[in-house]
Amino acid sequence: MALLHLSGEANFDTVRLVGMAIRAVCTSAVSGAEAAQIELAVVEASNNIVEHAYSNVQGDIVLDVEIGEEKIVIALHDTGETMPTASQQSADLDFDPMNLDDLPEGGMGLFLMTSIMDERAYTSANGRNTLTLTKLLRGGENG
Amino acid sequence: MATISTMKAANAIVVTVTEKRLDAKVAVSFKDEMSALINAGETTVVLDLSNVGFVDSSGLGAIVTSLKLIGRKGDLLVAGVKDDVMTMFTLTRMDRVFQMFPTTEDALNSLIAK
Repeated sequence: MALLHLSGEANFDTVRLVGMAIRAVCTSAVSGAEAAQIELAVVEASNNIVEHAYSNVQGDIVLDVEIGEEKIVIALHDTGETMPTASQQSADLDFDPMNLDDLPEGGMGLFLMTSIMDERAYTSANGRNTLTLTKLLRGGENG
Repeated sequence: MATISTMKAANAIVVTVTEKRLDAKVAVSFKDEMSALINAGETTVVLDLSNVGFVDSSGLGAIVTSLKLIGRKGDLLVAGVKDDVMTMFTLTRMDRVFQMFPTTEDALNSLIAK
């Protein structure tokens, strides 16, 4: 099992570096296409931290990445505002592709995270929020 | 710094995204630059994404905003989307919203054929 710890000031420049780092390390366990998707999920989660958790204050974004035989687990930590409970958010993305007025211009992040990753868990304790994203790897296959 | 460069064609404007990443860092600038073009009357746009290796939901949202701004006055055609970026369009079903072409030439030819 490989463990990696990343941290930096929460801003969109840091999110870029986090995304590129995540993609690179994930290619050790999954295909390039899958690594690109995991990058997308992590960037969406990180954008949320920059935009919402730290909307009014400065802070750090901290990631723990675990590449195991059976799964990739990426935990994102922040010490900003706690997200509303999961029940208040929508992981759905329902719209009529033929209806211009109905097309979403935002709010796709949670949908993407849950579509790409197998598990998503959010916890908050002692002023620290943790979003854990898990991608299960197909056992017995190489890549 | 501009996120796009433009080239006039006979019946459209080709807008090339010059950024490698269309993400939260540049989405607002990109949206503003697109809005300025569209508001200046450029309502048939071929958006060339061939330089772009990563699009997040704010980048995609900015493209959708541009499409909505054009509305029924014209067209927004998307060209040159790389495989990893195409996944973003298919996951969100935006591949069913936009007319997508392998190259800007293909997109321009489709306009001539109309």
